[in-house]
Amino acid sequence: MDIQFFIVILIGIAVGAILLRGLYRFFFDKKKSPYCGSCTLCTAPPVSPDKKGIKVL
Amino acid sequence: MRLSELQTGQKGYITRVYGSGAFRKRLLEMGFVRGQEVRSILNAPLKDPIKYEIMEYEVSLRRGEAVMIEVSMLKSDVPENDLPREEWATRQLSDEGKTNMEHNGLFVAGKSPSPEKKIKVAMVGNPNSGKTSIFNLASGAHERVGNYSGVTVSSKEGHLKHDGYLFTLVDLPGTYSLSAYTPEELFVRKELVTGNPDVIINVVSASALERNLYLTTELIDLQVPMVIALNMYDELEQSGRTFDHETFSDLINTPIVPTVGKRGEGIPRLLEEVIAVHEANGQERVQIPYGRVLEKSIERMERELKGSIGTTWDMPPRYICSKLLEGDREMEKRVASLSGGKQILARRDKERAYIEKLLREDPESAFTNARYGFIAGGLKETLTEKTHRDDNTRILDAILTNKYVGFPLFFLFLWIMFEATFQLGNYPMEWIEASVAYLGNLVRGGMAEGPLKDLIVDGVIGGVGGVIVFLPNIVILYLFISFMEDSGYMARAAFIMDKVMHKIGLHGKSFIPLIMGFGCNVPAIMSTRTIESRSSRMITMFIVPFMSCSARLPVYILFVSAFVPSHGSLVLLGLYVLGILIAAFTAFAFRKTLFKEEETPFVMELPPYRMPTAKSVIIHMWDRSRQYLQKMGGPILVASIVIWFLGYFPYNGDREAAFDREMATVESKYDNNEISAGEREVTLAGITHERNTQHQANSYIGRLGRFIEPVMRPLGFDWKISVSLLSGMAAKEIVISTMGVLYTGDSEDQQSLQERLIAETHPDGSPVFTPLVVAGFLLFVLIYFPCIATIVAIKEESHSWKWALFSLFYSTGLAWLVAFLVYQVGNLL
Repeated sequence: MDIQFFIVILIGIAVGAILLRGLYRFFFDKKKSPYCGSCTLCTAPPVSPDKKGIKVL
Repeated sequence: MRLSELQTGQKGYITRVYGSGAFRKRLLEMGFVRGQEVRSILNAPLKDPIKYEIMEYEVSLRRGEAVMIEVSMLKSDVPENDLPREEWATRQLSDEGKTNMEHNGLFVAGKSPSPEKKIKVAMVGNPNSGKTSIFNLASGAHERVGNYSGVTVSSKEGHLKHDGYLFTLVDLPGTYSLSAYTPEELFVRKELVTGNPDVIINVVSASALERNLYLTTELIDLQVPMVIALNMYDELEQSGRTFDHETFSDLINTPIVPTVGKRGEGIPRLLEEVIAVHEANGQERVQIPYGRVLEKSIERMERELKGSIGTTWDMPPRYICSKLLEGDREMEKRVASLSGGKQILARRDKERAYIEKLLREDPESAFTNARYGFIAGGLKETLTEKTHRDDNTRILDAILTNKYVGFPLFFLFLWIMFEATFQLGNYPMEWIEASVAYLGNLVRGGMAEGPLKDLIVDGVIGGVGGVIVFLPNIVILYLFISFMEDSGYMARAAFIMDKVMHKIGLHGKSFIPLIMGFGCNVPAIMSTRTIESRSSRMITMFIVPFMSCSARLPVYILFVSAFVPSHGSLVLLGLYVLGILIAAFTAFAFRKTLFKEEETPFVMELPPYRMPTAKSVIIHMWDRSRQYLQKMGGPILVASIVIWFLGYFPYNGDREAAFDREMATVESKYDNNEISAGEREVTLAGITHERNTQHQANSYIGRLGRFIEPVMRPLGFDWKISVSLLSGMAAKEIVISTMGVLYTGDSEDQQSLQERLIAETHPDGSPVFTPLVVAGFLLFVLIYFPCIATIVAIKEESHSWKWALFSLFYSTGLAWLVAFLVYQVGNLL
C-alpha cells in the first residue's frame, strides 16, 4: 500500500477516535462544567475543583 | 421631598425608604438608611438614571427608583428612635460600651486543626472589592477580574501552600449581604453554612469602608471564624485618611490585615492570620448590639426557637431569630418545616408588630439601621476624614457621561477599538499569512504527490493556517476590552445605556452579560443568573448570542479584508452595532409577547476609575492568545482534518483515471508540437480545476452540501458556503478552517484564503462572492447562534431544552430571513 495513503488512514483513525471520545464526553461523561465539553477554551468556570498547579507562597 | 427631586450638586438626608421586597432591601443594605447623607452628582445623557454619592461611593438609580426614597434637606428633620446613630457611636467606644460588648461577647468554636495541615478558606466580600484579584495572586489562578460588579457568578477553587499548610481557596460571588433575596446572596450563605470552610476571608474595600462593613456585621452574627482583608488600602492612604484598623480589630475581635490585591501586598500576612485563627480553634466574638427593642424581640424569639431546632441547625439561634424578624423567606421556609414551626412564626409576627409599633419603622429597616449604627460607631474614632480628594473620577465622569458628548465618545471609543483591531492588526496578520504561505509552498515543493501531502497542505495548513492569521486581531480586541473593563468605563457604558435598556424592557444589570458576550457568549449567559427577575433573565439569555463574540471576529475580518478592505473598521463597527440593534429588537418583541412581567428595578454601583495595571492587561491578553492557540491545536485542527477527509473521500478511480488520460493527451499534443506552451498551461489548469470541482462535488462533504444547498440557495449561498456555515455550529472559527479546506485555489502556489475566496467562481465564470452574498453571509454569521456550547449554556441556565432549542431555531431562522431579504431585495434593486 502507498505509504502516504497508509499514514493518512492512520491519522483518520486517530482523529476519528478523538472525535468519538469528544462526543462521548459531551453527552455521557461527568464534566467539570455542565455547559460544554469542559475544553477550558473559554472562560466558563468549572463547577468541580479546578486542579490547577499548587502555588507555594 | 423625594430623592429624584434633588438638583445636581444638592445633598439631602434620608428620612424613609418606601417600596418592598428585594429592591428595598438592596437599597437599605447599600446604605440608604435613615439619616444618611446623599448627594446628586449627575444625570446620564438621556436624563436617566442619576448618579448619587452615598457613604463615599457612587451609585446609579433611575428616577423611578429614586422617587421611592424620601429625603430632607435638613438633618434635623430626620426622625430618631430607640438609639440615634450618633449615640451608638459614642456608646460603643465608651468604657461602658466596651464593657457591654465584652460582656455580650461569646466564644465561636472553630473546627480543630486537621493533622494533615489543610485549611479550606472561603473568600467573601462586596462586589468589586477585589476578591478575585487576591484569589488569583494567592492561588496563581487566572480568573477573570473587572472593575465592575458581578464578574464572578459561581464559586471557583484554587490551591496554594504557605507555612506548611495546604490552602484550598474558594472564591465566592460578590454580595452586599447574606439576605435571601438574590441568587448570589443565597448561594454565598449556603456555601458559608454548608460548604464548611475552616476560616473565612472577608474582603473589605477600604475605599468604601462603611458600606463594605455591612456584610461584616452579618458574618459576625453568623459566628464564622473570620479574617478581614482590608483591600485597596493604598486608595485609603492616598486619600490622606488614616484608619486605626488595630483598634477596630480589637473592637470586633477579628484580625484585620491591610492588603493591596492588585500588587499582592499583605497576602502572606493574611494567610498567616488565617493559620493563626485556624490554630486558635475558635474566636472570641462580639455581638452586634441591636438596641433595646430589637434585643428584647431576639431574646423572646430565641426562647421560642430553642426547643425546636436542637443542635442540628448549622446557624446560631441569634442569627436565625434576627433573620426571621427581618422577614427572610428562606429562613421562614426552614422554620415552617419544624414541628413547632407555626408557633415560632406566630411569635415572629407578634414581635414584628411590636418592633413596628415601638420603633415606628419596619423590622428590616430597624435591623439595617442598627448594623450601620454599629459600623458608624466603630469608624467614628478610628477613621479620619479625607484630606485629599481624588477628583479624577468626577472629572472623567463629567466628560464621559456628559449629556452632549457621552454617546459620541462611547461610539468613538468603539470605532477606535475596531480601527485598531482591523488596521493595526493587518501588519502582523500579513506576516503570519506570509509564514503560512511559505510553509505551504515548502511542503508542496518538498513532498511527493499523494494523499498525505494533500492532507497537510489543504487540510492542516489550509484549515488551521486560515484561522491562525487572525490571532493579532483577537489580541488587540482583548487589549481594548480589558482596558475598558479594568478602568471602570464598562460600568459607565452601562450607566449611559440604561435608559435605552429600559426602553426595550430590560434593566442595566442585563448590560453586563451583554458586554461579556463580546468576549465569549458562554460565560455571558452564565452571568445572567445574577438577574433577579426571571423574565429579564430569559430575555437577556436570548439576546446575548447576538453580541458578536471573539470567535466571529476572524470571520468578519476575513471577509472584510477580502471584499471591503477600504472601509474595514466601519463595516466591523456596523456589524457589532447591528448585533446590538437586533438584540434590542428581540428584547422588545419578547417583552411584548413572551415575557410580559414587569422588569425589576436596578441599583448599580459605579466604581471609581482605576488605571489598569500593565500586568493584568498582559495576563488577560496572554490568556486569550493561549486559548486561541489551544483551539488551533485542538478542535480546529480536528475539524480541518475531518472536513478534508469528507472532501477527499470517496476516491473514484475511474474518474481520476479519465482526468489522467485527458492530461496525458494534452502533454502528448504539446510534445508533438500541436499546441503551444501557453495553450498547454491553460488547458492543464482547466482540467485540474475541473478535476478538483468534480472531486469535491462528489465527495461526502459535497453530497452533504448539495443536500442542504436547496435551503441556502435562495440566499445566494453555494454548497461550500452552506457546509462552512453548518460546520460553524461547533465554533465560529471552524467556518474559516472549513473554507480554508474547501477553497483550495491554485494547486501550484499557496495563496491566502482571501485571495482564494476572491478567485472562486461558479462554473459559468461568475464570481461566487458577489457583494450581496458577502453581506448576506456576514449577517448570517452575526445572527445565527454562535456555537453548540452557547445553546447548552442556555439549556443549563433556563433549565429547559425547550428554551435552548427555541433560541437555536429563532436565531437561525432570523439569520436565514435577513440573509434572504438582503439577497433577494438586493437583486431586485
